[in-house]
This record gives sequence, structure tokens and C-alpha cells, in this order.
Amino acid sequence: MAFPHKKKIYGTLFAAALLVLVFLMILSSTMGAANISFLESLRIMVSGVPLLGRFAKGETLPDTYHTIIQTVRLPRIFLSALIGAGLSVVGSTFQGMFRNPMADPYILGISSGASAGAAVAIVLGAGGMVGGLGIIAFFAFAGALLTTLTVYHIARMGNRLPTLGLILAGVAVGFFLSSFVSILMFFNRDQLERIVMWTMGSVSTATWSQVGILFPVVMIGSVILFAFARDLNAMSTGEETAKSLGIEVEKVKKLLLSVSSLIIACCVSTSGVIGFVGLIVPHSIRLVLGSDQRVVIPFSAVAGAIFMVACDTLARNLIPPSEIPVGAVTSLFGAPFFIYLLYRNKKKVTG
Amino acid sequence: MKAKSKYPVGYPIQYPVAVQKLNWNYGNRVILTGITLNVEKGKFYSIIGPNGSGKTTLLRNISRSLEPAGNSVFIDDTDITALSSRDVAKKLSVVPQSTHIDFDFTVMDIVLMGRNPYMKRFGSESREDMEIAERAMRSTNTWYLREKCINEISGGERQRVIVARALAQETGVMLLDEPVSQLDLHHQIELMEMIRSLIQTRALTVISVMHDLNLAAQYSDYLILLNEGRIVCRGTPWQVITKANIENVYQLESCIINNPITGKPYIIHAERRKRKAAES
Repeated sequence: MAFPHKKKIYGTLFAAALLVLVFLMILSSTMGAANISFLESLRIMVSGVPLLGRFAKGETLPDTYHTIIQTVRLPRIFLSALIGAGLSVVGSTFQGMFRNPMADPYILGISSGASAGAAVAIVLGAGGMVGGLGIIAFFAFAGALLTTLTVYHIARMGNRLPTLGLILAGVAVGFFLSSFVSILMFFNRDQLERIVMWTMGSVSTATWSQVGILFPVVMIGSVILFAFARDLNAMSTGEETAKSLGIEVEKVKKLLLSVSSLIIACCVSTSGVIGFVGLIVPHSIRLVLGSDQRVVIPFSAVAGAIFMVACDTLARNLIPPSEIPVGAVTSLFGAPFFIYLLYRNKKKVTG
Repeated sequence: MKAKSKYPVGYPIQYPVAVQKLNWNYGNRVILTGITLNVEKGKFYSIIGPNGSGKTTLLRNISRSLEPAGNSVFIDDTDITALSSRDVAKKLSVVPQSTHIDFDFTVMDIVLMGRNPYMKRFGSESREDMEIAERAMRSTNTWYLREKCINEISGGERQRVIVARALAQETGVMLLDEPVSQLDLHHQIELMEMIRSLIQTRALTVISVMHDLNLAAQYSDYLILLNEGRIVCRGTPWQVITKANIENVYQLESCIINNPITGKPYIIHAERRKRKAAES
């Protein structure tokens, strides 16, 4: 069935997915060293919301509960959700734009750029915080943006931006910066662990300020990408075709590239490199709901958020009291699930 | 191609496509020189010529896939460079050479993409769009494929689907780039006949790059023979497919016979002229 026929079903399905996400976020907030029940957690959350707060009677609960939920667990859960959504939305955009199913948000070397920035900050000993945001994050953000700009200028040919050139430039710059990070680590062995831990990706140091920055970037960015979903559909069948269907391919490409890069730079600089999510979530959605980007983008956002919240919950509860970096958990649990989807799809095709 | 105009002298004839002194270079390499061409409504034009003669480049200039200079390509008497991509897509549809698609879109999704130039940014396909797509699919015999994935149908079917998408654009002109070169003989004939009947039923104007001279001669109203970026000859198949032209452009010795079934010229090739020259 075509998109217009299914619109209603998609709407219901999307609402259901959002509910699952909210439920999972509350559930996740109850898990951890302190034993807080689902309802208690819900009451604390609602009491933080203006107007609604009066009915929740959160004040009857111990103050420590409030602190744990509100300043430790919640920012972390929100941050995971936002990063999962951001990575997945950009992943599906890049896959369509580059007509390459293997494209992920880091394909243009942005993760190496952020790592290089972070490594420089760590080596320089710049560790403090500014307005709730780590100085390392600022360096990582600058590294990510500089890398994107470099790749963009290498690939650009006059007015055009050939996708193959972009990917190749991205890979080349990415490798260059990875070597740079390796060399930095080699000569600064005392900082080795910190750099490695940063690259592995984690949301354990989440703050509300980070959420406050990421929220508008991911939300507005996703809406913009969603607005160009039909253009992306056409572009994924070939740029020449897209052009003949009335799409200003070069302009759209530049706009989507800028928006995507900004989303990823923000994600990667707050959490480090979390792999797999941006590659696999959009594909999982495609396997289940088809390739239409008008479906893939919104569902990837929610599914990515669900996936990241689930992974981070596992990461912090699997082996208490220590934590596994969430970047390592994503593939560990995501890959078997994806293999299951592939297998199911194979069965569907071969009967 | 100078068919007698049915308009009185001095009447401004609106050509769906007109090309005037078009030049095109890739860097320093000159691809097209001084192409001038007026295309009449409701006719089938084939651009023919050897590899590298500039056929596809000419087509891409007309479709604005490449950006031609101002005042060289006109659609309905409007300079194409003055039109927005959307407006061009409402006047010209394109069936590209390669129709391979990496993602699992259904046939219906692909045909509906043809409605893109008419849709608003956040809008989705209206009932009217669905009806137009259905009509396009019925007239290309692809309606039964609508639920199928574009990658699980045959090459011949896929080519018909792409033509259906072009039809869904509801343009007056359709451009095709070697539409049959990857099809077997049966599907070649099927597609060519389909295009002919579309010209009749939809008053479509078709410009197609063709590799197979005999097919081009059989189905086109006019041929445009290119060599080294210039138009060598143009006109009806009998005017263009001549022993002298084939020898001159393709370096082939040939014999032109009257195809007894179609009444169109048919080329029977002999050996290459160069080899003969080397022997003597």
C-alpha cells in the first residue's frame, strides 16, 4: 500500500511508539542502586512539571529520592533518548542522501574530528566546566565542526557537492585524525585511559544543561530533516532522477548536510562516539516498515531513543556498581537483534 | 524536418522544445557545438550517433540536468534557465539511462514520486495524485505490479514503471536516454510500441537517445544524427539513414533496404571501412 493509505496506521503506530518510550524512560529511572518504585518515580517527575505538579504530591517522598531522580538519573535518560534520536535521524538521512546503505552519521569523519578535539583538550589538561558543559565537549564540538567544514571544502567542485567525493574525503580525513589521536595517546600514556574512555562513548556525566542544548538542536533538526523526507526519497533513487522531479538537489544536499552535521556534532561532543545506533536503527525500521523516508525518519527518531535508553539502562545496571560504556553495549545487544531482523526478512522473501 | 507549417507566415509557432546555438564543454573538452533544433509537438525524435558524439549531453542540456547557458534551450518559448526546477519538472519528464534503485520502494511509491513537483513541502499525495498515478500505471501496463518492490521485478517491467513515473509528472515532453538498450528484443519492441501509443493518446512529445539505428528508424518521426558534437543530418528516417551518412559517421559500409513490414529504412552492415582501407 502506498503512503496516503497507510497514514492513519502510521499515526497510531507512532503514538504507540512514543508511549513505549515514555514508559521505558520512567521504568529506567526506577532502576539503579537506590530502590525507587515506578509510581514513586512517576510522582517525582510529575511534581517537577508546572501546574500538574500540584496533584502529584511528590513532597511526601524523601529528598534523596528527588535528588537521585531529578539530578542523576533523569538528565541521563533524557540525554540518551536525545542522542539515540539524533544519531538515528541523521543515519537515515545520510543513507538516503548518499544512496549508501552502509552510511552512518560518522561517515564524514565527524567522530574522528570530535575525538581529536577531545583528545587535545584532555592532553592539555582542560577539564573544567563552563555553564554545566565540559570544556572537553567544547573542544570536541569544535573538532567535529572543523572536520565537517574541511571535508566539505575538499569534496566541493564549484557549485556541486558530489556524494562520492564527500564520502571519500570523509574517510580520508577521518583516518588522518584517528592517527593523530593515536599519536597523541602514544606520547601521553598517562592520559591514555581518559582518551579511550571518552572515545568509547558514555552519557554518565549527563547534566540538564546538556539536555537543554541537545533538545532544541535534535528536535528542530529532526523536523527539518523530516520536512525534506520526500526529497530524500527521490534522491535515494538517483540524483539525476531527483533533479528531473523538480528537486534542487545541490541546495537540499547542502542544507541537510549542515543540519545533520550540527546534530551529530552536538551529540558526539556530549557523549563521545556511540556507534551502531545511527547505522542500524534506520535499517531496522526499513525492514519492518519499508523505505519511505517520511516513515523512516520519525520512527527512527523514536526507535533510536528507545534503543539508547534501553542500552544505557543496561550499561549502568548490568554489573553494579561499575558501569560499562554505553558505546560498547549498543553493538553488543543491537547486533543480535539486527541479525534476527535480517533473518526474519530472509524468511519472508524466500517464503 | 522542415515540415510545412500549418500556420500562416510570421505566426509565432510555439515549440515545446527549441535549442538555439547550444555549446557545451566539459572543462576544455568541447562536447557540443552550435546545436540548433526545433521540436514539434506530438512527434517522436530520436537522437542517434556514435559513442561520444554528445547524444546524452544534448539530452541532459535539454532536461537541465546539466546547466546550459542562457538563451540556448527553450521550453514552450521560455528560456529554461529562467525556470525553477519545479516548473521544469512540470514541463519535462525524464527516463534516465540507469534505473537501478538501492532501496525497497514499492512500484506505487516510485510512480507517486512523479507527483513531487505538484506537492507542498509537508503535504502528502492527494486523491487526485493517486488517480493520476493509477492512470499512468494502467497505460503502461504496470498497475498489477503496484504492491511489488521495485527490486523484485524484471528489467522490462522496471523500465515501464519508470515511464509510468514520467507520465505521472503530466508533462508535455518526455525525454528518454537509451530506454531499450538493456532490454531483450521482445521488451525493446514492447516499450517502443508503448511510447508510440502514448504519443498518440496523450499528445506527448518525445525526444529519445537511441543506440539501435533500426529501432530508431522504425519508431521515430524524425532522426537527429550527431557526430563529434555537431548535428550532421536531421529529418525523416529516409532522409537520415543513408549509405553516405552511415559511412561518414560510423565508418561502416552498409546497405540500406526498405523494411518490407514497416516501410522504414533498415541497415544491413558490411565490414568496417577502416579495415578495407588498410588492406588497399
